[in-house]
Amino acid sequence: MEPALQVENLIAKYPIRTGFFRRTTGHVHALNGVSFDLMPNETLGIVGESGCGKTTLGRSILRLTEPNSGLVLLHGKNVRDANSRELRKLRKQMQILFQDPYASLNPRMPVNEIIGEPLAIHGVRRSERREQVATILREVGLLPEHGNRYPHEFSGGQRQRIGIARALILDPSVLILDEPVSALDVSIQAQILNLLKKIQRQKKISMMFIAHDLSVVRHVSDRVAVMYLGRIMEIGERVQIYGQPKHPYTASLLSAAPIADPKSERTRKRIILQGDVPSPANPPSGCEFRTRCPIAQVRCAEERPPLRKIDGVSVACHFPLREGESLLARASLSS
Amino acid sequence: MNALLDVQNLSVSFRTESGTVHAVKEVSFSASKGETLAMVGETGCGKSVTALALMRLLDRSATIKGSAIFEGMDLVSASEKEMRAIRGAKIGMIFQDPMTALNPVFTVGDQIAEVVLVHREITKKAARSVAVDMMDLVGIPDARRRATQYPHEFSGGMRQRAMIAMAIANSPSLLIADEPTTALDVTVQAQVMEVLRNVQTAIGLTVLLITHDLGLVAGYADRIQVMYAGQLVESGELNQIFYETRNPYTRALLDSIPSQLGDHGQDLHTIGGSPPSLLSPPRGCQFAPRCRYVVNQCITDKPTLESVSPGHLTRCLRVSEIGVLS
Repeated sequence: MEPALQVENLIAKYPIRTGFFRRTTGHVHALNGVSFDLMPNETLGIVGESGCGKTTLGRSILRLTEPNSGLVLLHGKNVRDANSRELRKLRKQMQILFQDPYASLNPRMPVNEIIGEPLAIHGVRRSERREQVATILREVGLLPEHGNRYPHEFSGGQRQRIGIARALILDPSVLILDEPVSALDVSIQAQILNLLKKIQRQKKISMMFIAHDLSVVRHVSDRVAVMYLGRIMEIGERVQIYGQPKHPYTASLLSAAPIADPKSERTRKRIILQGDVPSPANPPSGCEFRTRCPIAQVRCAEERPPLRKIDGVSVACHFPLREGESLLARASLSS
Repeated sequence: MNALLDVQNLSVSFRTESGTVHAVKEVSFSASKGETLAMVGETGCGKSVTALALMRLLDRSATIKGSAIFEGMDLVSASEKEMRAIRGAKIGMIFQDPMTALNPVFTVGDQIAEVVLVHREITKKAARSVAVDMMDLVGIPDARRRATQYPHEFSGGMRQRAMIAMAIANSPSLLIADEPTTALDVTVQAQVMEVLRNVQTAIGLTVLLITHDLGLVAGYADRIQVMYAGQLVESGELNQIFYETRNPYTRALLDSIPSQLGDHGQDLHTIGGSPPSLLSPPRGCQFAPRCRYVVNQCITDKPTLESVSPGHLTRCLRVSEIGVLS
C-alpha cells in the first residue's frame, strides 16, 4: 500500500538575528531530519514537550512555514516542489486544525462563510456551497441554522467543531490536527475526540494528531512518534510504545504523566527527569536527550544515534531498553 | 483535628452589564493543618474565584458574602490593612502563569527578598540571604548566582520554583496553588510537584490545590472537592471521590478522561452539552440538563449537600436511589 503522506529527512531551521544589522548569529533547529510515513486511514500521534518541533512539523508539511530541506510527498506528489497553483490543489487534500478555537475563526464572519470559504476559493458555486455547509455542520454535531451565527456565540467545544467542519469541507485525505483538544475542558475534550474518531471511521481519512497529552494520543492513535528537540526518538505501534517503550525518553515521559487513578498513581515508581529541555539553538552534541538521560554513557555525547528498527519499532538510542526491562531498573544498575 | 481554614457559605457575585453573575454559591469547607485539599472542576466552575475571594484579590465589581475564618480572623470582613499583613505572610499564593506573576525588571532574588522585607523587621542583606535559602529549598541549582538573574533568564519550570520560593519565604501556614503546573510540560510538572510536596512536609504547610487535572489530584491530594457551576457538588477523601463516587457529575468527569491504562479504541464517555450560564442558571439541579440520571424532580427542585458517609458529601436528589457510581 502506498502511504498517504511520506516525509523524508525534513529540516527546518530559523535564523537567530542579533544586533543593529540583524546579522545571523546562529540557528534554531526546529526540525532536525524528520522522516515517517502516514498510511491511508491511519492516525499517527506525534507527542513531545514544548519546543520539540511538533508544531513546526505540521506547518512544514503544509508549507505554512517553508522547511529548509527534505521531501514531502502527498500520494506520491511532491509538495515541496509544487508551484503556488499546484500547491493550492495539494492543500485541498491536506487540511489542518489548530489548537485555539478562539484565535482561528474570524470573529466578523458568520459560520456559513467561515466553513464555506475553502469551497469558494476552489470555485464551488454559492448554492452548492450552502448545501455542503449544511451537511458538514450536521456531521460535526451542529445544526444548519447555526451557520448564520458568529463565532462569539459558540462555546470552545462548538468552535472546535466549526474548525473541524472547515477542515473537512474540501473532503481532504490527510488531516493534520495541532493540539486540537488542549484548550478544552475534559468533558468537552471527550466529545471532540469521539467526533474525530467517528469522522475517521466514516471518511477513512489519514490523521496526524499532534499533542503533548500522552493519554489523549494513546486514545486516538494507531501509531505514535515521540519527538525531542526536532528529532523522532521513537516511532512505532501504539501498543509497543506505551506497553514497552524502548527509548529512555519515551519511558520517562510515560513515567511523568499523571494517571487519574490514585491506587496506580501512588504505588508506581517514577523517574523524574532532571533539568529542562535544552535550547534548540544550542543542542547537545551526540544524542539530543543525553543531558537529561538517566542512563547516558560516554558514547552518547560523541555519536548521534540514528533511528534504527528493533522488533518493529524504530528507536534513536545507542542503548535501547530491552523486552521487559524498565528504565528504573536500568538506571539503578548503571549508577 | 482543628481546622486551619474554615469557610462557611462563601458566595461571590459580580455585577455585569447583562446582570448579576453568581460565580460562587454558598460554598462551605475547611482545611486542616498539613493536608492537601484539592478543588477540582472545569472552566467557570468557580474554583479560581473562590481562591481569589479568600485572598480578597477580586475587583470592586465583586460582592463576597459568608465567612472564612483563618487563624481566628475572618478573611471576608478583614480590613485591607489586615489583609496586607496576611497575604504573602500567612497565606502564600502561586498562580498558573509564572511569567506574568513575576516582574520582568527586577531580579528574581530581589523579588523574593522584597516579600520578606515587607513583612519582617530585617536588613536588606538578611532578606537577600533568606531569598537564596528559599531558592535552594525549591531546588534551584546555583541559587546564589540565579538570584541575581532576571525572570526571562529562567525556564518555565524554574520560574514556577521561584514563585514557590516567594510564596513560602515568610513560612506561611496556607498555600493556595491555582493551577500551578498547567503551563508546564509533564516532565517539568513532575519536578515542580515533587518540590511542592517536599516543601509541604518540610514546613508543615496546608495546600489548597486548585486544578482541572484529575491526574494531578490522584497523585497529590488528601481530600477533594468537586465544583460545578459555582457550587460544591461532592467532597470527600481521595478514595471516596475516586472509588466510591456518589455524584453523577463527578462520575462523568472521571469517565471522560482518556485512560493511560485502560482500553483503546472505545469511545470515551462524554457529558453532552456544556455548563449552564451563570447569568440564568437552571431552576433545579445545575447539572440536570447534562445528567444521565435526570428525572423530572431534578429540573424543578434544588438538591442540597448531604452526607453519605463520614466526611463524604454529595449534592444529588437521587443519591440513595443511584448508590455508588462506578
